[in-house]
Amino acid sequence: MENSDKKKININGNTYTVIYSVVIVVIVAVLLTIASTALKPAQQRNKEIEKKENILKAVGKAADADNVKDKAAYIEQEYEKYIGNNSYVIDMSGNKKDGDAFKTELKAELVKPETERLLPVFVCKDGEQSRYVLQLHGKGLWGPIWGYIALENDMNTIAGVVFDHEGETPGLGAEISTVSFQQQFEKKQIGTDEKSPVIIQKPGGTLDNHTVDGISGGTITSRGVQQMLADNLKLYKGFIENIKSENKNNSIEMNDKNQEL
Amino acid sequence: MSSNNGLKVFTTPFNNSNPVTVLVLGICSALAVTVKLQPAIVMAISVTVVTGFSNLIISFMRNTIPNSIRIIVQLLVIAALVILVNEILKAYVYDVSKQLSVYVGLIITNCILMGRLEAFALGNKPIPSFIDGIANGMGYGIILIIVAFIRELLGSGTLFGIQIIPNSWYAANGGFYLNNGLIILPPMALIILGCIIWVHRSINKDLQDK
Repeated sequence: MENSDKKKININGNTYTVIYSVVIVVIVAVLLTIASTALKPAQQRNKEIEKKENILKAVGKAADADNVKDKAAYIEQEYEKYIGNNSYVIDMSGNKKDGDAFKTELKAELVKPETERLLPVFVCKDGEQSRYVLQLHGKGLWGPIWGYIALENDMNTIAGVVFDHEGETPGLGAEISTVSFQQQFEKKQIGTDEKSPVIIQKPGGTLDNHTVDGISGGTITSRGVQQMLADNLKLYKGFIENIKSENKNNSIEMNDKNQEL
Repeated sequence: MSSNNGLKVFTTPFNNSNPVTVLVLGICSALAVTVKLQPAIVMAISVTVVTGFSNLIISFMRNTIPNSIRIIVQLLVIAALVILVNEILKAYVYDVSKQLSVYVGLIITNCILMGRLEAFALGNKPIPSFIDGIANGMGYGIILIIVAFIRELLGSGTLFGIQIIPNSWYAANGGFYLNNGLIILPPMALIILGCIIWVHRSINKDLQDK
């Protein structure tokens, strides 16, 4: 039988062991490379859909995403409907630049020098109303946290937020990605204090329009979210000021027109 | 030899040598992925696939593996299969793969796998080894599913994400009921697991210490 053939080779010898391990490692490497290459497009698409979903959820759209049968198609359709091509990148002083907002990752931009930094902006058109979705990136307790914040046209009222995290403690810090935590931010005003535009405080206190309840047991993550909001809104400051002055000019123009009429 | 009897190979991991309740292997992941039923089932299927095929492959290779690098070779086969499973999950069930996050990768360190390879696949023919792997994966999975069922029902009031406890019962809506927040946390999973082991041992006389 086959065993008698095998006997001739000493399977415990050094040469055999080395060749055996080299061959098996090469086989595994080739197999995994093929699998990874073949599955890449599908994985990439899932990531894109997730990103679109997060952007939409920040402005309170795509609420049915978990109930529809074909989630990917639903998200694509909603994204086309509300955002489509209305996204662009801006530099630190708020001027539009060439670039694909969807492919711009804040995480990668933050390590660049300030003059080369590009920030993505997504504009959600819903009838007459425009809302601006800005990307966020910060630090939690165990790893990075990120998300999106949507601002109303006045650039002062928060339309909604979405947060996600890499490895915060489930049931504690990880609660930042729950709807109930995120809903608190809706309709809050951005404060004038740059260090804490929105204050995330210990649960149980009285809330005004700049404060939300933090997560009990997730203090450091809550603080991370507050810091992330402060840091990222500061990055977008130029852009926010631009839109604000645009709004002012528009309303002056409107008044002029009204007076002419 | 009785262990080569296909049926017996298949049934013992469910009862007398259940990897979780009797051999107490794979506890870490059993605590981590059992908050909801869906990830628990996906984890169970993933582990079953990996135990089955790693047993099959190692059994085919068993006469060629040099003794000195036997463990490394086993680990390589397991790791390759786990990476494959992970890539497939990421491509086709992205939401679930996000929930399972690192735990799919940690299948590699699940003691059930190496245990079965050392104890069974290295000494048996491919077909019985494959059956043994599948059965052990399922024996592990069934415990996972029981724990997840209890935890999701009591901890979130849902099963497969569908509300089971009527909404009107909840204290927030004027009822008397509150979800048990403690059940969500890993320590309660350990206690539930302990209860399952207790029940299992009290039913099965073979397992009781004299």
